[in-house]
Amino acid sequence: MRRLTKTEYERVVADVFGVTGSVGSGLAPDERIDGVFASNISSPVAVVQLRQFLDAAESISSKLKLDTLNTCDRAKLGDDACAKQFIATVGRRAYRRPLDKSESDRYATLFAAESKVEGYEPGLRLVVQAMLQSPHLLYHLELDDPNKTVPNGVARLPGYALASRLSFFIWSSAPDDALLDAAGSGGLDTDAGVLKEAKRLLADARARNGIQSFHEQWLGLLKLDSASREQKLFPEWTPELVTAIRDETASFADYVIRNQTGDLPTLLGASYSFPTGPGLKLRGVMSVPADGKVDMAADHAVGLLTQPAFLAAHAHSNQTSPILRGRALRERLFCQPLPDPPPDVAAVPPPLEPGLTTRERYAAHRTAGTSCVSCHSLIDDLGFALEHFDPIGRFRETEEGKPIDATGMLRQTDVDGDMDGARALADRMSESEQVSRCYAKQWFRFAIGRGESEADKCAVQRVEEAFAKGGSIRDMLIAITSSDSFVRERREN
Amino acid sequence: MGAGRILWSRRELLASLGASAALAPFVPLLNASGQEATTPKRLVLFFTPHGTVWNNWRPTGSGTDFQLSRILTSLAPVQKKIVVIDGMGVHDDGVGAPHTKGPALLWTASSLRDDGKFQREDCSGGCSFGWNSGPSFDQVLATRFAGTTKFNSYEFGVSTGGGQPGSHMIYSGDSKPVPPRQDPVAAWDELFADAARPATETDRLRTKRQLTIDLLNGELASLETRVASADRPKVQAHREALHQLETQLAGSVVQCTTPGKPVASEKPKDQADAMPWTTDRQLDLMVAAFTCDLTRIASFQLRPGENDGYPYRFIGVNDEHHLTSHDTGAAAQETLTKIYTWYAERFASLVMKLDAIPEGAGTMLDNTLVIWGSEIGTGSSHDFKNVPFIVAGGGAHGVMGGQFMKVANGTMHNRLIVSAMRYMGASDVDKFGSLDKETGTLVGLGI
Repeated sequence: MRRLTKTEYERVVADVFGVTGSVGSGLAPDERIDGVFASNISSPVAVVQLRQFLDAAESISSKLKLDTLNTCDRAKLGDDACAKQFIATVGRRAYRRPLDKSESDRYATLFAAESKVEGYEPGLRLVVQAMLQSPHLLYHLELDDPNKTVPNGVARLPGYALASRLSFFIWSSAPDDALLDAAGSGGLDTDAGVLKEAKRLLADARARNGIQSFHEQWLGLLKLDSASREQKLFPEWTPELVTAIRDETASFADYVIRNQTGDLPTLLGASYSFPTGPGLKLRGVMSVPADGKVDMAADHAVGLLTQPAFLAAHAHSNQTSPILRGRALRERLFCQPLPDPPPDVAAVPPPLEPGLTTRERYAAHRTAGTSCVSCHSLIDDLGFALEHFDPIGRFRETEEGKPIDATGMLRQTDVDGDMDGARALADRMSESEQVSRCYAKQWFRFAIGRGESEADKCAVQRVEEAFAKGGSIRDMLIAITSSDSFVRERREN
Repeated sequence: MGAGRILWSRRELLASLGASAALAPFVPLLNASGQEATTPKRLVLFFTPHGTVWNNWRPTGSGTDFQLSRILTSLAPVQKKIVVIDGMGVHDDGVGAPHTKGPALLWTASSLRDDGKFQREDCSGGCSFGWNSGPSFDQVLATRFAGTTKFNSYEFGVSTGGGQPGSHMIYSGDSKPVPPRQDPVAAWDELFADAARPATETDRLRTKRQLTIDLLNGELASLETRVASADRPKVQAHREALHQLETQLAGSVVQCTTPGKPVASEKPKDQADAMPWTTDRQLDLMVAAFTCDLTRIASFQLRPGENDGYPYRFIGVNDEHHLTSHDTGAAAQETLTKIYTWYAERFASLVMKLDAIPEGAGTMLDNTLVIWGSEIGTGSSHDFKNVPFIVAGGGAHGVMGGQFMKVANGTMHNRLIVSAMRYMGASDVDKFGSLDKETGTLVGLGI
C-alpha cells in the first residue's frame, strides 16, 4: 500500500483538478528505499502529514477553476443532479475507478451540508477538499472489484489497478478517461489490451512526465534542489538556470525515447540537446531551431553524460568532482556498488590552488601502494573523462591555463580500456551489456515502485535480455508493462 | 531585526495581555479563582549533526568552577543554568551506517530494524536496514500525558532531508517516524491561525473541516475491511492519525496573543542560505507555542544526520559539513569549529529566549528541560563512546545547573533519558530503550 510520491501527487492534482504548480511543496519528503527512486512504501502516516494534506487540499480547492471542471447545465438539471454528476466524473478520475454507492452518498451528504450554508460552488470545493484527503487518492490501493471473485495466489490485477499502474509508470499521474473506460470495459483483461494502452500512453505528451521523473531520480538530479555554487566563481548559477538545465535533460530524454526510435547509444551519445533560457549561454548556443533541437559539436554534447544537470548535480560548490561524477557513473549507470570511504579519510575535496588542475590536486588518489588506489582506480578515471565540463556543466578547453587532460582507463567493466574524454567514454558504455542491463533494471524498479524480489527475477531478466540485444528504449518500456511483475500480483481473499 | 520577524518581547507580551494577567502572563495557567496554578514542566530535544570539535567544545575546569570554551561562548549569560556533559556514550548496536542510525539512536536508545525495508545497492547508509524499532522518549511522554495540551508534542526541523532513518530522530513507535515541520509559515498557521482570525471565520472553517473528516472516517472504516491483512496496520495508523488531527482541530481556540506570521518572501531562495532564517523562526514559534501552552514537549532538528552537504556561507564556510567532518586537518577543524559555534549560538538563543520570559518564581527556562545532542561524537571517527550533550534549564524542579559534568567512563545516555522522563513526571521509569543495559538516572544532574 504505497502512498503517492510528491511528483505523483502534483501530477494528479494537475491532471484531475487542473491546478498546477508546486502544490506538494509542503508535504514531508518521500521515502527512498533503494536510495534512488521515491516510493512511500514503508512507514505509516503521522498526524503531521495529514495536516499537510489538509493544508494542501484547502489551498488547491481555493484555486479550482470550476467552470472548466464542472460543465453541467445547472439551470436545466438543478444543483443536486449537477453535484452528483460532478462527484461521479471527478471522483472517478481522483479515485482511478468509479465510486461505489456508499462513497458517492458520503460526498452527496457533505455537499448538501456545505451548499446549504455557502451555496453550490463552495459545496463543490469542499467535495474536492475531501477527495484530496481521501485514502483512495493518496494511496495506490489496487483494490479488487468487490463484485468479482479473485482467486487466491498470483493473479492478474483488476483492470482499474492495471490502468493506474500503466499511467503512474508512464505519466507519473492518474489514468485519463479513455484509460478508465478501457479498464471498465475489460480492455485491460488481456495482454493485447494492455499493450495497446501502453503504446497510446507512450505516444501521449504526458509521457514526458514519466520520462523526466525516471531520469531525474536515476541520475541523481534531485540534488540540484539544494545544490549551491560559489557566486563569485559562478555568478551564472541561478534558480532559473537550474530549472532550465533540468528541463533540458527532460526534453532530451523525452525526444530520444519518444520521437526517435531511441536506443541506449543515442541516449548516451547523441550530439544534440534542447537547451533553453539561461541554458543557451551555458551551452554556447546562439540560435535555436523552431523544434528546439540544437545540434552541437561532437565533443560538446555527448548525450546524457554531458547534460549540464548531471554534471552540476555531481560537483562541488567551487570545483568539479571526478569522484562524485565517477561514483555516479559507476553506481547508477553500471549498477556497480562502491563502499563508502573509511571514516578517517578526509573526503573533503582538496582546496583550490592557483596553477593546479583538478587532476593534479587529486594526485594522492593515484599514489601507488596506498589504500586509496584500489577504490579510486575504479572511480576517478570515469570522472576525469568528463573534465571538459566545469562545475556548472559548461564546456572548457583549459583549467588554470593548462589544457584539460580527460584521459583514463576504464576498469572492471565489460568494456575495459583506454579512453579520452566523454565521447570515448560514451562509445564504450554504448557497447556495454552491463550498462544496458543496468538501465533496464532501473526502469523496472521505477515501474513497480519497489526493489525487485526473488519472485521478479525472471521478469527482470527477460526485460534486460531483450534490451541488451540493442532494442529501442520504447520497446523495453512496453516489455516491462507486459511482464508478470507488472500485470500480476499475489492476492489474498 | 527585519520586518516580519516574530516579536515576542516580555514587555509586549505583558502589555497585550492586559493588567489582569500581568501578574502571571499565562492565561491557561490561571485556575478558576485567578490564582496562579502550578507552572508546567516542559521538554525540548535539540539536534545538530556530526558531533563537535572536542578541543574547542570542552570547557576548562570542572564541577561548578569552569570556563566555557570557544564553541560554547555564547552560552555564558546562562552558564549557571546549563550542564555541559563530557564522556557520555550512546549504545550503537544494530544495522545501519553511523550517520544513518545515529539520529534514531539518539532519543530512542533502540536500534534500527534489520528488516530490509531499505535496500541500497550502493550501500549508502548501509546495504540493508529498516526504520527504528522503538519510540523516542519524548513520544512516550507525549502519549502518556496526551490531552494535556492541544498538541501532545510538536516537532520542528530545518532541511532535515528525505524519508529514511538518517533524517529522522523522532518516532511515535516501532517503524513510525514522525516528520518534523519544515515550514514556519505552515507551522504558524497550524499553531496560531485559529486565534488570529475572527471567531466566526474560525467556526465556519471548523465546520467545513469536520464535514470532510466525517467523510474520511467513514471511508477509512470501510477501507480497513477491504485491504489485504498486510496493509491493515497502515490503514489503522491512518485512522488513528486522523483521530488525533480531529482532536487537534476541534480543540479550544487558545486565548493568547499570537506572534506575527513569518513572511515567506523574506526567506532566502537557496536552501542552504535559508537555514538561519528558518531556524530563527522555528525557535521563535516554539517559544510562542510554549507561551500559549499549545504544547509542553517539543523538538528541533537542524539538518539530517546523514550527509549534511550544505555549505554554511552565512558564516563564511563554503565547504560541506559532512565531508569536512571527516577531515582531521587543522584547517578543516577550524572550519568545523565555526559551524559548531553557529549551532551553539542557535541553542543559546533558544535558551535565552526561554529565560527572558517570567514564569512562576523564575523564568520559563527554569521549568523547561532542554537537551542538546548529536548523532555521533565526532565525524572523523564515527565515535559513539563520547557524544556531546548539553542540558539547560529545569532549575525550578531540581536540575543542578552551572556544572561541567565529567561522567564516569561507560556512562550511557540512557541515564540522561531516564532523568528527563522522570523530570516530566514519568516517575516509574528506570530504563529506556531496547539497548539500555543499566538502570537509574544520571547521577549528579539533580533530577
